[in-house]
Amino acid sequence: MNDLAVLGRYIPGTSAIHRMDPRAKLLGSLAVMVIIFMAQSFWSLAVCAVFVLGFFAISGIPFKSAFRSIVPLLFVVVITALLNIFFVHEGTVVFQWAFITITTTGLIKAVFLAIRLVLLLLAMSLLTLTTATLDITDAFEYLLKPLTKLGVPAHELSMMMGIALRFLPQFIIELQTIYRAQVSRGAQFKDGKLSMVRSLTIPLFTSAFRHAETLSLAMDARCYHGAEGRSRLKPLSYSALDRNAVFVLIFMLLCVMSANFIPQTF
Amino acid sequence: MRISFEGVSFSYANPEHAEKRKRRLKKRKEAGIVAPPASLADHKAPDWGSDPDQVWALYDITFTVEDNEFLGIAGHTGSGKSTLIQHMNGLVHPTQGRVLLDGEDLADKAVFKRCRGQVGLVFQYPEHQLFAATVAEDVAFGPRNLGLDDDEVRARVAEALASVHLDIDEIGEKSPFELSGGQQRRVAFAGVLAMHPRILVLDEPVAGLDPVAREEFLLLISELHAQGITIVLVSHSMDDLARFADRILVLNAGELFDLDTPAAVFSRDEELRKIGLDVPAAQKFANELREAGFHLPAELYTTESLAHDIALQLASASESEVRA
Amino acid sequence: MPLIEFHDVYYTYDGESFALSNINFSIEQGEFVCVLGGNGSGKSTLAKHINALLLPDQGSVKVLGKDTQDQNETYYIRSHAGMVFQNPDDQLVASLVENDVAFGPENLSVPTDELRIRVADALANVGLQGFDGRETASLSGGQKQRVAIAGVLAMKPEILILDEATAMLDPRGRKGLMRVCRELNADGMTIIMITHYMDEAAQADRIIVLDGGEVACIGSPQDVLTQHELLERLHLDLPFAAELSYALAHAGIDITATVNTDELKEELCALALKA
Repeated sequence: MNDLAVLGRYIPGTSAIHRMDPRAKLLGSLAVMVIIFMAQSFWSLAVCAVFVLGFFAISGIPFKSAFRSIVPLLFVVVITALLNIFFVHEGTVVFQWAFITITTTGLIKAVFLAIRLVLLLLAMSLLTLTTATLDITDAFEYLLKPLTKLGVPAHELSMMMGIALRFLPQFIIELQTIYRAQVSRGAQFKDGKLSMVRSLTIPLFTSAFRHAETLSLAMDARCYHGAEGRSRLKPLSYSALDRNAVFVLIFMLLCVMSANFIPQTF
Repeated sequence: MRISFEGVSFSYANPEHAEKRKRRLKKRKEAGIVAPPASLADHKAPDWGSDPDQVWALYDITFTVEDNEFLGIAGHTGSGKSTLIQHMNGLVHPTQGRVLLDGEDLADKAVFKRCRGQVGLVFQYPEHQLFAATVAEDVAFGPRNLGLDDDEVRARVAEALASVHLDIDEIGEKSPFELSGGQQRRVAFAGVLAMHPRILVLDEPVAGLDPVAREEFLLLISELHAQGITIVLVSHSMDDLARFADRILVLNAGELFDLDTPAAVFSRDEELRKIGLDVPAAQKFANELREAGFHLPAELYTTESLAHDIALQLASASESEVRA
Repeated sequence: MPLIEFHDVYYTYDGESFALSNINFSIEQGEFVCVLGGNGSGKSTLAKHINALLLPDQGSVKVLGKDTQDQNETYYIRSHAGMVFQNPDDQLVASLVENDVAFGPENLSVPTDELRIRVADALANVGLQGFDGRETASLSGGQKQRVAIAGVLAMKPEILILDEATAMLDPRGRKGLMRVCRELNADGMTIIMITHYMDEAAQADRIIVLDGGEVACIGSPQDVLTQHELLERLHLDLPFAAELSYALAHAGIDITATVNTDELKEELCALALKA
């Protein structure tokens, strides 16, 4: 309940990865994830792992923060692994009891998928740990811009995302206070009775409306009038860094592709 | 009913881990890898204004809230006041030490369950926790959770609303969100009173109210105290604490700085200023006049009593001159 | 020419009762004005008229010579009369301090190089140098309010309006905010502060007291805040010095009513010496 910072909160820094253009970083992390999906063997996964760990080393983000940021999503990894252990019935049987059959192939597949998922999550968290949320939403807005012609409100969407992210930590604190206040009034949330849940959600919603009212007034007072004629404190611009990142990613792709050809001995 | 704190320390993080993390962070900061510490700060702890690296939110606190006492709690933001009062009804448990309610450990689940409702905790801006469709329903939430039958619940709702000077016939069926801010706060307050607490813990109950509503609310609290309810009042207003409290507990950086009568606490005005706290205006002025040679005998002054003593002294001085 | 002019201003929210009626006053460049009044006296409504968030139903409000009714001037007025609101948690737009401070001037299409300078200057002016990259969520209430002020300053305003901006702060935060406002005022900024706190009002150049949407009294703190009967009728507190000097006068001491504690102390010492 305390730590809802799924995928990690931005840790300021000055590393090459921090300084990359957020658009390049957004696309880059997508590319890394695609490359990880292309890894077919443990060898190529190992190559991916080396690269991902390398990226973290460059970013200066302590690996522990990185790991902690993916902990809330590890259950996905565990479930995927368990599904493979219990439902893949090819290969040599290593354990059998009643309807449970565990095979070597199942185990190997489970391990493989677990590693792949962890790497994917790490690649995602590298983006969120090294990029301020506003930069991510800016990048998002820019990448969506071609769609404005189709009626997609790119600026408004990214503004909404930015504000949502800005209020998220506040809502977590508020929810915590409301929870404690209702517990102080004898509420018990274990059995999930509707009135109990309502005693949390309704105050949270009214608070959201209250915030929204003043926030829109405050935005008006600061001359907000949509995307038109807005300048930027941090204009997006690609640099040599981003070009180099492209080369690094191509190199990673090549390494992974070649590693796919190394025969796996089990 | 008494609440005793015995050597209570509390840490939001596991203290050993926090210590280690702090050391590592320092090293990393020195190496210049990670920029400012702010966003690395443990965002679990409500530590605004305090040192984000602070390991203990409370450290080695021992004291007892006596039966039917009016205890004031002072300390600037981040000194651990909120954490301290959340120990009083078992919302949080000490990392070290014990909190005893009439001699029984609140960390014990059975004790906690039995004592539900006995210690009423009113949070800051309690009106933000209103949720039911009608005022009466909202106030009934607490008593219902105690498992009381309908008749008893109804009786308690009426009684609680009456004790905060609200008319159940007039507003009982209204939505709490239709009411004014001050009325909403009273409703929220009634919601806690309806559980028949014997100790009422209030966190900044008059924050954000205008002077009229403030005064009404403070009088309401002192009325409840007169009816025999023990009051623990957390406040930034030293004037309010001086006016109502029997004793004042001063917290600084999670540690017990002082626990004494208002007169004794406010006689330490230099030290209080150092930890970011004020002294009531009348007391501060009396201290300044004393330094300027005035003879002001009382230990604790209000504006009225100060005016009285100053007038008395000026009069007696001119009298003695006339005699001379 | 006065910086702000209210001429016979009337305003109603519901069309039945007037939240403001018959408001007439003007504020000069560089003044520090406090607006006092109980809940529902129309303080906030008045403040929102100064930067065209609300427009008068009758009468006119002129800011820097421009009528707030003129829609072409709305952004000019809003950027020159910046406003800080009550709740520190409601008015920051961005997660990072620098982005939030830049929000206003970005809307005014200030070029990037200039933006950087403005953000740095504004943060320095509120005593938050080096907070650029901090997350707004990690700040204290007082710091958040100072970021909000910096966000206004970055628009280079001439008028700063604070709508009960200290109401939700702790004493330390309040003092810090007051200090910032006084420094800005010393540098020529016109400040309009809406508040409940009499010790803050006592520091103003001029006070406007509102009651039921009408101006009950305008004058210097010394003139307004020593009017015991008036303030009592309007349910407003007196500043400590005024209250004590009133109580002393009541007890038969010949003393000037004052809002300044130091003056009161000097006068008392002089009296004691004479006696």
